[in-house]
Amino acid sequence: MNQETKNVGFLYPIIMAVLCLGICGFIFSMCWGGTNSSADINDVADAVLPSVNLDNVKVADANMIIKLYGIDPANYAGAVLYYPITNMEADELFIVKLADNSQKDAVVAAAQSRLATQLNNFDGYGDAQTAMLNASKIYATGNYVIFVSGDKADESLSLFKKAL
Amino acid sequence: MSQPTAVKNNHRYSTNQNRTNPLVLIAVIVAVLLLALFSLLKLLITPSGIHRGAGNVEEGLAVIKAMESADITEIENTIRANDDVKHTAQIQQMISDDFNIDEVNIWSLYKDVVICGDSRAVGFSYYGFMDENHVLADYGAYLSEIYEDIETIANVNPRYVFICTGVNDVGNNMYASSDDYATEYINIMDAISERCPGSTVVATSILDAAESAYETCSAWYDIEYFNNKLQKFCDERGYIYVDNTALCAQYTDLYESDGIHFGEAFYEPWARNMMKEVLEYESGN
Repeated sequence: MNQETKNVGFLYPIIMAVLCLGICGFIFSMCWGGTNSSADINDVADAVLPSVNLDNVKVADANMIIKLYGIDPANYAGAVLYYPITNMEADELFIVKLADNSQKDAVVAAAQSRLATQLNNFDGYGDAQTAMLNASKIYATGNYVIFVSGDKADESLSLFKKAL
Repeated sequence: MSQPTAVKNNHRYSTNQNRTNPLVLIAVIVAVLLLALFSLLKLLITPSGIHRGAGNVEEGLAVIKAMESADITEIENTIRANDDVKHTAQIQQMISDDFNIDEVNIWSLYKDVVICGDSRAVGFSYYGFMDENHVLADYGAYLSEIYEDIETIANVNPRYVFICTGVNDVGNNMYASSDDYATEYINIMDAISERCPGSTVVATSILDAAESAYETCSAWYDIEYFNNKLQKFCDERGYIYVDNTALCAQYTDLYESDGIHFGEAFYEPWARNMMKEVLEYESGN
């Protein structure tokens, strides 16, 4: 028995190191990979709006969100959509605050589907719109998801992260 | 602890069994049997005393089968034919001196309309004026693509089919001449009319582009010639042709920045102009 204990004794430091790495990884993911935010969705949207071309978008009601994204805002903690003012624009801002983090995949999928529809609309027809859509951002963190398409999509995403 | 409870329950059951009177049990069974017999007799014998035979069931099945095999489009067209007299009277009333199409909810007149077209026509559903299933339009669509929509039109079976397209065909030189364009247009109208005999197919002029847009595509100078040729062909074939030329000249402020597409505010006057011309044509004015 004593001999066996001596043989496995060298494993303890390794186990401790793995555990420490695991804890560090968990803390890192909590800090950087998506902590839930208590920020109000309207405040988050207001923070992002300066980077959006408001001449090209208008606010959507719940029915329009259902029509374009297939999700009912009533099932979420909040949803804000600014969609193209004409069918020839590609600017768009969609922010959702999840009621439950298990909704994240469905919202991301809805945003991806909307993006695919818009790309299909303008494919071979609107080069500028297609370029804008290709540079659009879909990002999920904690209890928030954003889809933004516009000339300043990078800036929009940055403002979104700061607002959470 | 649980054993005494079990014993106690068994004892209670046994006591209840002993208390049941056999005469009461028999009386209940007889009552149930009589009730069942009475219900069965009532089911089998109709009020007139005739037994419900298999023949009646077969007759019923035959009626159901006949209804199942009937063509829904044919039924709709029959109903529509019966309704046409009323419809014509309504149109004549609407076109009378008292009627002002600018005062009615124009979209109420588009419930039974299908619009085929390109990105300009997409706006009819994009802005929520019409149901998406009634707007068969796509970005960058060409005239010939309407052939693919004919079955969908047949399924909707609308009273009117408006064709609102052509700017992409002219802009991309899809036809060598305005004759070729108008011939294709008429062929499509014929194909829709043949497949959807209950629908009236309406040709509409290509909406002009704004002056600023002509710099990007000189081919659009031909829009006028293509429209004139289409109008001539429609007149010869007895198809309704709606002219939107004056409308575009009137609402130059409603063009989008690209000079080709129109903002939301344009769709209502556009719809009014098209329906007004159709109603006037149908009323014989």
